[in-house]
Amino acid sequence: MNKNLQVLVISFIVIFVLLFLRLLHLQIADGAKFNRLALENAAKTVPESAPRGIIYDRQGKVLVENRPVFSVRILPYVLNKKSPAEQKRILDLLATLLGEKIELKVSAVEPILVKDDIVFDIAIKVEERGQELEGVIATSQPVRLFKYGNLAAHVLGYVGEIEANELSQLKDQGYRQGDIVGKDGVEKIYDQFLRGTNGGKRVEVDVYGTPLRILESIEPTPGADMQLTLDTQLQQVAESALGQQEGAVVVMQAKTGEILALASYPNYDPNLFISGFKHAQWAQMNGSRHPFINRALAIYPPGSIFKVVTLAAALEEGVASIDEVLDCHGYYKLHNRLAKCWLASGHGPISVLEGLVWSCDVVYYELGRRLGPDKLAKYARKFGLGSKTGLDLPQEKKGTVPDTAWKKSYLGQNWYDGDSINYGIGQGFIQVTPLQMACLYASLSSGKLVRPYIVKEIRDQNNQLIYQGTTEVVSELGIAPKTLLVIRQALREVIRRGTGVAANIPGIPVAGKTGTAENPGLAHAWFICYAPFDNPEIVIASFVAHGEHGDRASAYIARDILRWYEKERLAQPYPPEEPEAQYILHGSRKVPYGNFRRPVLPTTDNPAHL
Amino acid sequence: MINFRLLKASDLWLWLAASGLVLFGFFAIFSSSFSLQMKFNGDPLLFVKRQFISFIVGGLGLIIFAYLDYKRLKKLAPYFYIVMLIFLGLVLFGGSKALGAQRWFQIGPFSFQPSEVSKIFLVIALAAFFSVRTRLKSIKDVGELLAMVGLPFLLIFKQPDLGTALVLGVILIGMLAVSGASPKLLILLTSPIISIMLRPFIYLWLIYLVIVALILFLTNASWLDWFLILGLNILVGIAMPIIWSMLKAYQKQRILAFLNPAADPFGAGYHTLQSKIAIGSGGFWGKGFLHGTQTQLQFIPEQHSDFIFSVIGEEFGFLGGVAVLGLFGLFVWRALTIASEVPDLFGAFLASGIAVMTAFHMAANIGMTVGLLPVVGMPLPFVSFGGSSLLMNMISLGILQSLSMRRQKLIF
Repeated sequence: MNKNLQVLVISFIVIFVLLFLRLLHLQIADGAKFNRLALENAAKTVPESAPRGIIYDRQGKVLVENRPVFSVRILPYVLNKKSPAEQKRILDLLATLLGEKIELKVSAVEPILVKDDIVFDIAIKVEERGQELEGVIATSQPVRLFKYGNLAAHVLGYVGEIEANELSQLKDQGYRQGDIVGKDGVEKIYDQFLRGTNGGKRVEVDVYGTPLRILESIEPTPGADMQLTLDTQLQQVAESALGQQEGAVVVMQAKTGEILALASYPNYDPNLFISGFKHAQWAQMNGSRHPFINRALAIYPPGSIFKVVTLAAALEEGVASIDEVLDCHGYYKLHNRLAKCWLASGHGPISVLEGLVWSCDVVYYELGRRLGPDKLAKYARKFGLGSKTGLDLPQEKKGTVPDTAWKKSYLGQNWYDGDSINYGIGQGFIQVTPLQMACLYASLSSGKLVRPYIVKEIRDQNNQLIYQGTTEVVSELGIAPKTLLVIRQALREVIRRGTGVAANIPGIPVAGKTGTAENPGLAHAWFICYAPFDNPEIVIASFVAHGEHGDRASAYIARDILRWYEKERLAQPYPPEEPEAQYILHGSRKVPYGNFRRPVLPTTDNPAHL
Repeated sequence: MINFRLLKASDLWLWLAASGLVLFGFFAIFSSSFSLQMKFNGDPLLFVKRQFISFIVGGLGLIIFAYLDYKRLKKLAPYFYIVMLIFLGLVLFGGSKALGAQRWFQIGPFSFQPSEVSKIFLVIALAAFFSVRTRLKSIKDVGELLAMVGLPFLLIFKQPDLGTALVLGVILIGMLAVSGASPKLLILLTSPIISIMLRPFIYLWLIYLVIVALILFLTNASWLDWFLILGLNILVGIAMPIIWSMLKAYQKQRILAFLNPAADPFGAGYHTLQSKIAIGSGGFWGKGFLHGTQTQLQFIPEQHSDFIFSVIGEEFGFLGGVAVLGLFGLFVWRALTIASEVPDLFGAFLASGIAVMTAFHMAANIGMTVGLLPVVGMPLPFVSFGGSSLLMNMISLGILQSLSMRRQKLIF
């Protein structure tokens, strides 16, 4: 008998030793770890998101604000305790209130979202009948409201939940999982100001997550309010002028660099991102239309609007004088090859300045050849091409200013004269953004390149100024005032009687340049102008991708904006211009018509190209 | 009236161990239940009071069985057994349902769980059986034995109550071991059960088969033993998935519920994890009475009954946990001592059966709370809240004391 009992004794000893060791392991060796887990268990942080700062336009009009979004949630731990009949009654009542069928997902500890973004009235009803709807809660959360929908979408941007890659970059700045962050536009660039500080409560909770008592409570601090340099009305005018043409419009204060309007089409409605995106909408967004690209900051070949750079370089470098007259036969001959002027019949004898007025390609082929790539590149860079303007918006590209070294390193080829003549008319490898061109034309008057900016100021909740956008001179052009003067005169003539007559409107004297940039598909249409020409207030860069004719598609956009600006915003009305005798620029002199062969005016059969 | 000389011969250590455990139980039950009872019933002491009433009822049982000469139990064994079967049968029809099982008789505010008490009656019945037939000699013996355990087993299986069914099996195997049954028989009986448990983890099962083969090789087993034991194990392993696939969904559900009665609402392992956190975070000294966050915030399910050890581990720490282990050690040690000292076989089987039963309860319960064993609803003897369990344990204690008091011939 006793021998048989030994089997039991040994088994019992083994059991006791095992359990003893296990306790030793759990409580002594891993005690600290489990203690931490117990502390985490017992306290949960319930975040309370801070409302983001409000965004105003330059006149103080609200562009972006917050609205409360109501949602209905079910607390599974409360509902699960009810009898099936009771559960059914609650869910049926809720379904009647919401007016739709409820499909519950898997049960969990966390509250289950039944419906998001319900209307206020229904949220109130759910709250009122809280007694009958045990386990159902209605919550409200501030979400972004872009009051004008698509308007200025690329400037404002949109917001969304922080993504894993963003989080890893921003973790040090206090961003957390589940935070709402700006994804584009000023919402993104100034996110740290706009987001505010999330508050929250540290609450002791039981196993079901039921809050028992508040350990600590921090009120959320709303984000700082932001005023943009944007002029909402002007933005509306610019967007309707652009219409549904793929392209971009930049309207900037010429002297300060304040962006008054910045339009890019196709665009999108930032509000769509709030209440979850429908699949079909994504498909459309991600289609070939690329609505998220800010085309005002994207790169395109400039075409003839680049000719001011060629002209400035030629005059400064002394490869041409303003008196020099070239002969345009409609083509330019280079090593047995012919390069066409847009005007097949030719412009005849034409001065370099008049070449700008009529956008004669032959003149600028020749200037391009005389200058060569490196000198052209030097002046392009002086005008700020090839580098970012520094606008406080995401997505900005810096473009390409090619020279011999560039071609060698990127294409592994030597520079040919053929490249130079293309360069002279803004074709070939050069790439610019509409914004860069606006800045370039703004600098012609002052001789200084200013940094464009879109945020005027940011004030915190105590109305303390915490950020201010200021006019910054990026660089002096370093170009003789006399050179700039003749260029400005020529640009005025472009509008008065040259290729840009479409933008010649009464009440505001405009100077500018058309451009049609060859590229695969239909040519891009450019039009850059500033007004008033003698004391520029605004610069307009309008760009229509595949718009074909710079003197129309893009010029009409500028014309619409100018008309509105003249009526609504122009500081001082201009007296109507006295009809002046028709003359042709010949150096510093104005030579009456007749002394030169009169250029053929554009007709409908023979549209003015370039 | 009270026979003091008899009482003097009772086992002091046993009294000490049992009262220590009951005391731990009262403290832990209060700690884990007072806030909820306060909230829902306005009486923080409600569970403690109910446990105390159970304690009084259990005390009556204890006194009856302590004063009853254990030898008379042998004659009463068949009647106990039949009464037990009747109760187990009745509960299937008239019992109350909870957690998907039918285990209770509701008597006023109290519930009575026949399956708990059936354990001690089975111990008595088996002791009576083995004291007559020390060794299993014929197929008839084996058949009778299997029928004896099988009947209550099936009735409990039907409730379903895996914990108790397991206890019955373990009591049988433990008492078989004490009876000096051949190791081969024990292996033949136990190894297929282990096979069933390990079969879902195919590699573990294969390793286990190798170990069984190794034991057979080392013990110079005959070809018949090889064939029977290994064959049975492999057969079980092959049949299990086939039987499983033949079952209907609701049947599978039922078996899963049987295997895991505390059906886990928060995903696998949640209960065990919370219990481990509670015990581990107790550290050496514990967080102090009523200061365990896991306990007070209700992170542990069934913390006043099946998971009561996690309350002790959290609030009284390693010290408290080891103290409880020590008290059980003391109890089991005294039970085995009594088993070795009683003059007759019936008494020895009785005491060792109680030792096996108590030790298995403790091992399965604490093993579950510390995450060593799967969650099977089984109370911690003397400690867990629950009248039937306490009554059964106190009857066991009474029987042990009865044995202790009568181990030497008393000289009047």
